[in-house]
Order: sequence, then C-alpha cells, then structure tokens
Amino acid sequence: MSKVLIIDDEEIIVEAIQAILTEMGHEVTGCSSSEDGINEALTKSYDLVISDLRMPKKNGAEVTKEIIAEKPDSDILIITAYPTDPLAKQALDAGARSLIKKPFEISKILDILQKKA
Amino acid sequence: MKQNWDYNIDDLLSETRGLIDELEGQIADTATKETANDILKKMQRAELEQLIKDYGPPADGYAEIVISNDRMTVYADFYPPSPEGREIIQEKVEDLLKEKGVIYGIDWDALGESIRTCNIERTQVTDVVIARGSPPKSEEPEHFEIEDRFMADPQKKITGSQKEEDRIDFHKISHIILAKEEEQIAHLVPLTEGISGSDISGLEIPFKKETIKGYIPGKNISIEAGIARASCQGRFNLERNIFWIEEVLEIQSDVDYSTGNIDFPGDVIIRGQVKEGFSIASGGSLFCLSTLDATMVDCKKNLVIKQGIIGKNQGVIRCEGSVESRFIENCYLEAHGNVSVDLGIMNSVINSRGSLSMGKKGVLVGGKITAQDGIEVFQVGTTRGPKTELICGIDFVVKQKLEWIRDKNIEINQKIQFLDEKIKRSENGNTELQSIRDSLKEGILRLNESAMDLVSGLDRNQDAKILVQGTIYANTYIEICNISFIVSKNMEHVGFFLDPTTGRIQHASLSGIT
Repeated sequence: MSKVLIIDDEEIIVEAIQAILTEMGHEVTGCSSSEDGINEALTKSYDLVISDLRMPKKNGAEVTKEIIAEKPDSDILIITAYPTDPLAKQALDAGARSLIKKPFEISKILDILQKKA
Repeated sequence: MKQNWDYNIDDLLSETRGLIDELEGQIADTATKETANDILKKMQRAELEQLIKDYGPPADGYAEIVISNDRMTVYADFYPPSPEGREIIQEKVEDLLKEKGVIYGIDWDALGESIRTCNIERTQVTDVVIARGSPPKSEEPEHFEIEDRFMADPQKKITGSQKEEDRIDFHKISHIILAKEEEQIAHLVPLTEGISGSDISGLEIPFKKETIKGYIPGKNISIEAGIARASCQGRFNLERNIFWIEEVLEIQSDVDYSTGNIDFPGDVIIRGQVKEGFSIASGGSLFCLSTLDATMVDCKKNLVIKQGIIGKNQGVIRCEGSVESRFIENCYLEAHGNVSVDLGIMNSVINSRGSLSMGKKGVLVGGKITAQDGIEVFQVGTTRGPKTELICGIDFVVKQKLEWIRDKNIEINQKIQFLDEKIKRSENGNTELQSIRDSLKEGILRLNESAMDLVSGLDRNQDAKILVQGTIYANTYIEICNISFIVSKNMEHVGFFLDPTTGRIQHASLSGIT
C-alpha cells in the first residue's frame, strides 16, 4: 500500500484518481490548492505526489521546485493537457519524474507505484 | 620395387665395372687412355638398359599390382618381355591378385586386353584399373521435395522476365510466390533402400542411413499418388520445413465502388489503390502495390504497402504482424510487430509492440509514436512543424487496457454515486437498487484486480532507445518506461536512453551508444 498526494484544483480529477487508487488499496489524500498541497507534501510523507500543471497561485513547476528543494527524493508526476507545454519542461527540469496527460494516465501512476513497492 | 629378372641393374653395373677393371689394364697404355670408369660414366642408364635388353639375358613379361589406400581400386602396370623372354601369362597375374587378396570387382576384360597389348605390341601398359570395389549406397527416407519454381529466388525471377508495369519492387515488398489451384507444389521421393558395398577384398561396407530434412505439407495442400498440389489459389509459404498455401485474393484494379469493401480469410494482394472510405479485412497478410487510402484496415498478419498510407485523419489500421510502407500520413496505426517506414511519418499515431525504424532519410513529424523496442529515425520534427511525441519501452496494448479500466472505473463510480442518491431518497432503502449498487462495486473490484495484474506487463523494455541519425528538434517529447524528457534545443546525431542508475532519461552522441 502506498501513500499518494494529489494536488489539483479540479475536484473531479482528484475524486476519480482517489476512487481508483483507494479501491486498489492505496491511501490517497487530495488537495485542491497548490499551497495546501505543498504544505501537505512537506509536512507528511508521501510515496508519490501527483500535481496538476496549470493551477491558480502556484503552477505545477513551482510546486515541484518547492517540494524538491526540501525533499529531493520526492517522486512527482505532473498532469498536463500538453506535454510540450513550456511549463511542463520547467517542471521536469525542476525534478518531476514524468508527465501525465489529462484527465490522468492511470497506467503511469500504477506503474510508478508498483516500482516503488 | 624389385624386378622380375634374374639380374638387376645395380648388380649388372657392378659386374660391368668389374669387367672394365679387367680390361683397363689391357688398354691402359693406349693413346686415348680412356679409362673404363670414363666409359661407364658416359653411358646413360637408359643406354645400359637398352644394352641389357638387347644383349642381356632373356627377361619375361610381368605385371605390378598397386592397391589404393581405401582398398577400393587396384591398378596394374604391365611390362613386356625381352625378345627371348616369355610373355605375360594371365593365370600368373590372377595368382598375383589372389596373393594380394584381390577377389572382388576384377575387370577381366581390361586385364585381358592389357596383357594382350603388352605381349603383342611389346609396350608397357601402365595405370590400368583392373579391379574396383563397390561403394555403398545410402538409405534415404521417403520425403517431399518442393518443385524448383517455388524454391527459386522470386526477385531474380521477376525482375528478369516481367514487363515494366507488372514489375514488383521486391526491395520493398515481401516475397510473393503465387500458386494456382491444382498446381503441383511438391512430389514425394520414395524410400531409397540402402545397399551395402564391398572393397576389392570382398569385405562388406555397410550403408549409411541418411537423415534428410524433408518438407511437410501444411494448409491447403492435397496429396494424391505422391504429388502435393495446391488445393486453392494462393501464396506459397515455406517456414522452417512446413510448406502451405495461404489463400490469396488478388484484386487487379482499385478497391472502390466496383469491388466494395474487402473481407477475406487469407492473404490479399491489391494491385490498384484502395480508395478513401473503403475497408479491408484480411485473415492473412495484405499487400498493396499502390497507395492505401483506406478508412479501416484489419490485417491478421503482415501489412506491406508499396507506396504509402494516407489516412486523412480517419484511417485506422490494425495489423497483428509487421508493417512496411514508404510513408504514413494522418493515420492511426497499431502493429504487434515492427514498423518500417522509408520516407516519412506525418501527424500520425503509431503504436507498435516492436520497433519503429525509418529509412536513411526518414523524417518523423508530429503525432505520437509508441514503439516498445525503440525508435530509429533520421529526423524528428521540423523548424516550425507540429510537436512530436516519442514513447518507448512500454506495451501499448497493456496501456490501452489500463486506460479502458480507468474509464470504466469512472463510469461505474458515477453510476454508484447516482444510485447512492437514489437509495438515500427512497423510503425503504430499496433493496433492488442496493443490489445493483453492490454488483457495480463488485465490478469495480474485479476491474482493479485486472489492472494490478496488467501493470506488471506494462514496462517491457527498459533498454529501448531512441536513435536520431540527423536532427531532433527542440520541444520533442520523449518518454521511456513512463519517464519523461523534453528536448530543450535542437540536437544532432544523438541517442536517448533510460539511465538505470538515476532513473532518468539521458542522451549521448550516437557513436557512444551501442
């Protein structure tokens, strides 16, 4: 069982991922704001952080940067509609492991969770 | 070899020398003072032999026998008698043969003739084969032999004899050998019994039992009276040692309103174009000698397109084998085997469980390419063209199944939410709705179990690489085993691979990667 944090201002995405991963036995926490997400990631321990790219206040690249700065070993996936979005590249350069296409690529999430297990 | 004379040359020479020594004292005081030894030295051996022959004691004719090392051949030399000598007697030669153990395969005619010639013409007769052993004949099992036409190299055959308009470019098209119905494909070679041999001593040489890699008839081959025939028109196939006929539908013209959609259980060969809006389903391989403008193609084996595939953003091609084409444009393609494209791939989605390779100047622009075992291309992207995504290392079939499970999950969860609302609002809890809800929950559970099983098969090839011989343009998206990388600047002659140490995608010059 892994602990997963989802940071996305779209509730429906959070709920969908939560539903699937919880059914599979993972513990999932959802945050609808980037600042709450950063705070949650830095104060608690998560095996995987999934963050949307385009969010109000702080985008996924900034979220990645802040989390990696404090916890360099963090595994972060970024949800984006456009993999070649320049922000996506910033997120990868900041330390995100991979990009997930919207709504979410469950195969990638499960693959990375399995590797961690 | 000792001669059969009473004298031999060496003895005679020494006798002669002795004689001359005696004479020497008698001629020593002559003016010429030529000594006996000088005389001796001047005389050639041949001259001496002639002297001996002419003036020496009478010598009988004789034969010399030589047996080969493998004891399968006997050679004889026959020497004639001197003028007063006795002729060669055949019985004596026969005794000699018996003495040497030669009792089998004697050529009495050759023996007799050689002796006659030697005796009558008084000449040597040499190197005569007078006896031969019999080599054994191997036993060969019954087996099928395929007719030459089907074993010939079709490329040599076709380009040499066909007219320009019929010529097939076999550089781009797999070998096709067609057989007509009832045409003879192979014939049965019956068992060849082995026969033991014998050497010249009469010693038996046992025969070998040969192992022949014969051919086995397969599908659409009928056998009658030892002849294997094609039971339908089709393409001749030979794989390992099994030969069969793949039923072939050959369409000489375009696939259009005159032919309608094509649905055939065997191979399909289309000599014309496949017009937009028409579909083809083939239970075997599909060969298209022109362009494929099809809307839907479903092919159970390989797909070979001599020209290219033009999908117009509607084309969906599914192939369970490999795909070969000159170009692919605006198309969705799935292949369980490798994909080889010579010139270009434009704005297409290509999924392969093998590798994608392109020609020396192959250009890949736009679209999304997923190739489990790697991608090799000359150029990716252009200066201002659409962005391209390259994905390696994963099995697209597994990924599709997982995404399908995701979608079903969402759909069922929505239904469950809807039912929860209804159950809450109903007065007595509504057991029927409850039961449906429980079934849906059970469904989700099973789906998720399937997903867990599938995930282990997702990452198939962590060694998959992306190799770019020419230029890869900035903003190309790369993924290897679900790890992402975006090309930040144009790069030349470069390869991308997953570094197992860091778990990140690295790149290096092509010369450093192999």
